[in-house]
Amino acid sequence: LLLAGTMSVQAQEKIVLHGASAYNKDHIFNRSMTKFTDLVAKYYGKPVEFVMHENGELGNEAGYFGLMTRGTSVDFAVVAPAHMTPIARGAGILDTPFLFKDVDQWKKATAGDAFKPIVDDIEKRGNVKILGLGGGAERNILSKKPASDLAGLHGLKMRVQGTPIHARAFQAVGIVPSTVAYNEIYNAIQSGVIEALENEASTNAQMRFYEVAPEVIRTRHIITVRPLVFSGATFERLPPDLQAAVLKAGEEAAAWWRETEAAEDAAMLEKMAAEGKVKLIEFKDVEAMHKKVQPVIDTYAKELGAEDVLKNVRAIN
Amino acid sequence: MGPGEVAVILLGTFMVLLILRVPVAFALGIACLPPLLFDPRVSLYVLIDQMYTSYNSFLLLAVPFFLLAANVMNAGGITDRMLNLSRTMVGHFPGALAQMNVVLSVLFAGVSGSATADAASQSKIFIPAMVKEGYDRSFSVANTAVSSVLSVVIPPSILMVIWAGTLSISVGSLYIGGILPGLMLCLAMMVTVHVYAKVRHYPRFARSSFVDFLKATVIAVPALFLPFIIAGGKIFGWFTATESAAIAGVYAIFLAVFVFREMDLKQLFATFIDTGRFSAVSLFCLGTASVFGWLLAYYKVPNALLASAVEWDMGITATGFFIAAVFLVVGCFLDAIPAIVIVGAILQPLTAHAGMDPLHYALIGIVSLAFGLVTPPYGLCLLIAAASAAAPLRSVIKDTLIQILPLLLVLVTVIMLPQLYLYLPHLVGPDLGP
Amino acid sequence: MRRLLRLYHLFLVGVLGLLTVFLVIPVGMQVLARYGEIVPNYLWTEELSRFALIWLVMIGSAVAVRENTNFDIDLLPTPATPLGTLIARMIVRICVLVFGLVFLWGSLEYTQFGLRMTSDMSDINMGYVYGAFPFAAIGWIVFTLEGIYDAIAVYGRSETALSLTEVENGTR
Ligand code: NA
Ligand code: NA
Repeated sequence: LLLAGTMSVQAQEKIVLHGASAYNKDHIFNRSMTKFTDLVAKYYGKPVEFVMHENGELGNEAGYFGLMTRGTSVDFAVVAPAHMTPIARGAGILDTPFLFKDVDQWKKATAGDAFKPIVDDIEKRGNVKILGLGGGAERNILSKKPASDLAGLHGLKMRVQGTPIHARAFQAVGIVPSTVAYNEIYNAIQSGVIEALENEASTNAQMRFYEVAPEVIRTRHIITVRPLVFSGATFERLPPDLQAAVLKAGEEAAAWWRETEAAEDAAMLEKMAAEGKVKLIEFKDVEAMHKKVQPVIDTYAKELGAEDVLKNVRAIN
Repeated sequence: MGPGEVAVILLGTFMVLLILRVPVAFALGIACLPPLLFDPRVSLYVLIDQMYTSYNSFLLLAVPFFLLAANVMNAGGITDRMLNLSRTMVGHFPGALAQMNVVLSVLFAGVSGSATADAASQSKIFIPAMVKEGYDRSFSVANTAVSSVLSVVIPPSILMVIWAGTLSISVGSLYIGGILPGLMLCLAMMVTVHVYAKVRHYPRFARSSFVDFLKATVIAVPALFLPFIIAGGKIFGWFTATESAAIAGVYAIFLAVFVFREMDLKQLFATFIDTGRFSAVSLFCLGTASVFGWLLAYYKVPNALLASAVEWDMGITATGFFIAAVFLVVGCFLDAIPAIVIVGAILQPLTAHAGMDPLHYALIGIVSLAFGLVTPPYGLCLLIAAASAAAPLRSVIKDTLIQILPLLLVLVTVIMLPQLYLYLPHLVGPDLGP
Repeated sequence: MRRLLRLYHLFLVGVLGLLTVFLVIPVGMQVLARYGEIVPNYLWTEELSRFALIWLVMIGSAVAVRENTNFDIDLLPTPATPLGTLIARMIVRICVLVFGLVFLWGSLEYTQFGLRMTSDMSDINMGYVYGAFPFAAIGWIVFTLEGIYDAIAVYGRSETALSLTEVENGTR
């Protein structure tokens, strides 16, 4: 008891905040979180310590989200919306393929209020603060064999993320969606169990998927939306001036992140192509593909009760 | 709590409880309780959540599936037919069955990257057969456990995929790089087995006639499809490693019940029960071990212990021995995957400082971690093999250590001869390079 | 009481068998789905097998507590006197009992939280998945209490063979 007493006194003296990421130091998520912590320290002006846990040493994003909703161990992290759906189903809309027509629409939606109802819902159900929406990488199809139009994609055996909307959306354009565990993807493509996956350039580079699936078919079916999440319970415990610093820093870090990731992602893809690691294929039927999937998204949004959000996004031009 | 305090509490409690013979899984869990209960920064939630996360893995299913296949093969007369056939082929060589145990682990390694699945399924098949032929039980257990580690060194290996993803190097070149160390380990094991067989006079069989061989082949034909299905799934890309295990199990059931008719439904269900029971104890440790690793990472224990090593300014070879030693020690307490994620990334600046090739670092790391699968206290493959044979650990520890020694020599060559081990991966393609 | 425990043990062992059967089915469907038009592409197959595995491991751990088959390290010599044996056994049992009680408390809270969650793919209430943890904890506790009772009873009779073996339990 005495031990616990001393510790809480210490905790009052020095505020330590733990951040977690599944990626390494150079990854855009980690750099955005560093940006965030630098800004917090600057705006707060008093001592505050940050501990970063990188490379997934504390598990995966689903785990961080669980910890933050319970207000223990992890205080801030980037969490893909798909990992929030068990607690707040509506989050799924943020990760829906073929939601945005182009990067411009994505920029306006994430910087503005289009997603506010969903963000509010996640904050309430998960007892977390969403400090800002980042992301901005385009997800493309990484395949063993080239294809430049819808006909070329027909019957392609592709690994999709484990949420029903991904399967339904890609099925609607003639792709055969398949379930493969994340760590089995490389081997599964190498041996031909599946022919393709879909992912963004940075993950492609880190996980070396291009070694087995060098064709990048630029469908740009997702432009990623990645919330920067802060634990609600931790937030409540902070002094008001630190709370203000966290909110302000979060918003600015997210803005920086959106600019940086969108630019870097395109540059990285070009660089990988220049190095001969990938072959870029412009996809001719982007618009037709987009159109084909919209009815599926309508149904999905209705299921989630997220029609208003969908309307907000579509209203942006 | 600081990193030092946590290290002492976690490792100290764990060791004391093991000495008191508290089961490994519970000892790991209890060691985690002091911080979880008394430090306000972490909570009991972590304990259950980490257990949930570690069991919630599709890859772990390889263990029950391969175990099911092995159990059905034993009970359904498939194992006997295949062992008969192999005896007519190689039975006249000294220690033939033990050599097959090694070679089959190499082939298994080419299909699945799971050493745990290899240890579990081959324990069921080989240990009883070897004991029946007159091998010592302790030798059989050690041989099965030690050979199972080949699965993580020879491609494809999930461990390598995770290493490559964590430290961002090429999976392809790591796969190619793993071939030579894998074959060297295999060779070292076969030499050890040969010496054992000579010294202990393990049984040899008279060379079989060609007619006997043909007879055995005909009897074994339906059973021979089984390895074909597993290997074909891999070569022709029919299914993933985990799936091929399930398909193998289903085919074995089909053979045992409908073709050989050596099994009725009641026996079949008993086989399912046995599979479930042994899979569960084999995998149970993983959960609390992962909490243990999580806490070490949360309190930055490895960072605190290893931070100063960079200042020692070691050369490549000294660095190589140092990281091998670290991974060998870590392997006694952690599973290989958390070890890579938690320690691999922390050691990386050290290797960069020494100017070590990232691929060289990876090979040293993977081979060292492979030993961790059979080094007590937390050597899951050894625990599985011993439990499968109902052999006390103390009865098998000596033979295990004897069989590990030659493998350590291979590790030394991996550390000291990077030119040799990196030749092939560097030759195959600069575009595959890190 | 003893009969009840034996029945409960048998029940758990039966469930282990059923869960193992259950593991194979979704994965088989997953393969079929990739090749045939017969089975539509079910994405929940992977999820379902993973959840079954969680239940399998946890129930198996409880069964192993009664059968004394959880892996332990026996490299040091074991006590030779009945009293020494009793003490050694009691230490192990009490450790597991304490851990079981703490785990039960933590996992009940965890499960309660899970009741508000649904799974990614098949919309299963996560309470059904997380329930495996308190369920197993109860098994550990009950079987450990039985083990403590046995250890004391056997010490009273000053015998050396302590806990029940599997054969005595009539399960194999
Ligand atoms: Na083997
Ligand atoms: Na392998």
